[in-house]
Amino acid sequence: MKRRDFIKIVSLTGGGLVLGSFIPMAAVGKEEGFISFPGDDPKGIFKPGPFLQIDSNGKVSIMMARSEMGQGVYTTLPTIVAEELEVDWESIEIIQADAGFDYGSQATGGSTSVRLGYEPLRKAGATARVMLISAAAIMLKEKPEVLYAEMGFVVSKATGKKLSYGELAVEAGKLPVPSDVPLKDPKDFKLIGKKIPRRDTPPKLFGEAIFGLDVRLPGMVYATITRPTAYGLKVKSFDSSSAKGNKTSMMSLKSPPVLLLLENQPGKCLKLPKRLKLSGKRPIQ
Amino acid sequence: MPEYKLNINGKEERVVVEAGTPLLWVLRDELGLTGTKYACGKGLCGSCTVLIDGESDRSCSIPVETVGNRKITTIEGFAGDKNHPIFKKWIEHEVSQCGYCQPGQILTVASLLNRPEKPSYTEMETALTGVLCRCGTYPRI
Repeated sequence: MKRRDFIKIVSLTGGGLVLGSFIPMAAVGKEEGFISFPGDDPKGIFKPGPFLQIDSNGKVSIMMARSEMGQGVYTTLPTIVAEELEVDWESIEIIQADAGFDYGSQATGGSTSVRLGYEPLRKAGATARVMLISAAAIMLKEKPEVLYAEMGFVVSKATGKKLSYGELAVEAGKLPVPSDVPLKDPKDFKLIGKKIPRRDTPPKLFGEAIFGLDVRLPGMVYATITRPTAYGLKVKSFDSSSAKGNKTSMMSLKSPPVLLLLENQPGKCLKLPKRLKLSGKRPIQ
Repeated sequence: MPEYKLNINGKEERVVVEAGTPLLWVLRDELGLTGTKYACGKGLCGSCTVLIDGESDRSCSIPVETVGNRKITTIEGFAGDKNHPIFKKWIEHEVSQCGYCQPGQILTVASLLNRPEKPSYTEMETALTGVLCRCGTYPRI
């Protein structure tokens, strides 16, 4: 089994079905495709974090370890999962993952999210679907062959009975993870290949999207860098009183030779370098 | 530090900041209205565009003490009507990519449409080339 195909069950408090997997990030090189896995745990332990979660209310969430920068991963990646899982793609909640080795590489770029994520995401969705059908077979006391998944339900062709993914999630979470699940025939795709409105568009237009500079954390400080005015200069001294202000502090770094001015608000931070007195000396050759 | 009384999105706001503080940082740092973006800080790029009495202006280059009792509308205020025709068109054409400049683009269009006379193609083009978009969304705009 290729490591990037590996899916395992992850236990989380709260109950339900939680599958661990991740989208590989790989160096493109060898003819057969993608060879290395930068971002794996450096100790070589493959420990995928929670990726796909279905809770007992039927809510489907995916942990997004990639960044939405306007290329549409918040739309494409859940769509691929939804295609195989047989749920409404719009109902999938996206949880932005924190930084951590459990998610594999979190770099986003090189048009790799869909190229490398396509198969693992389909497999994750299909694995969950098969497990939900197995759970329904147990709960309905019917054969899995007569059951099929549709829009968040497992339905019986034989009796017409159906159970929601929410009702099945806890039972499905107790089952072993099947290793080789069938993927859909592309001719049966309902979502992939269709034009779907991008999820990130409205919040960006309404001023609601959070960009890096919009993040506010408790006790957060902002730094501005003052660099030497010529190549090779080092910081000889600086007058910290010239940057005195409310909650202002300064740091001098030897390598690289810069001064950092720290403030509790970015707007204040930007004003400081003008007020700073700085003297430098050329290094002795 | 002096206190300033401002009219932001139809609400009276009081802020205590140093004189000379740009309106941009009053909006972002004091009032938490982060929809107005910081990019160049020198009035060149248009990311920080707001409406002042209905006309677009660059909030990074407006010292807070010069605002007076004029009415400021930020993107958050403008998005009080999420069904505004500008938003509908922007969604229909999926204009944004990264989205950072789009509040500035949208408020610049709003300002043009606030004028009594219909803007000419050249006027539209002139106004919108002033808001820089590195993703290159101009054809869709």
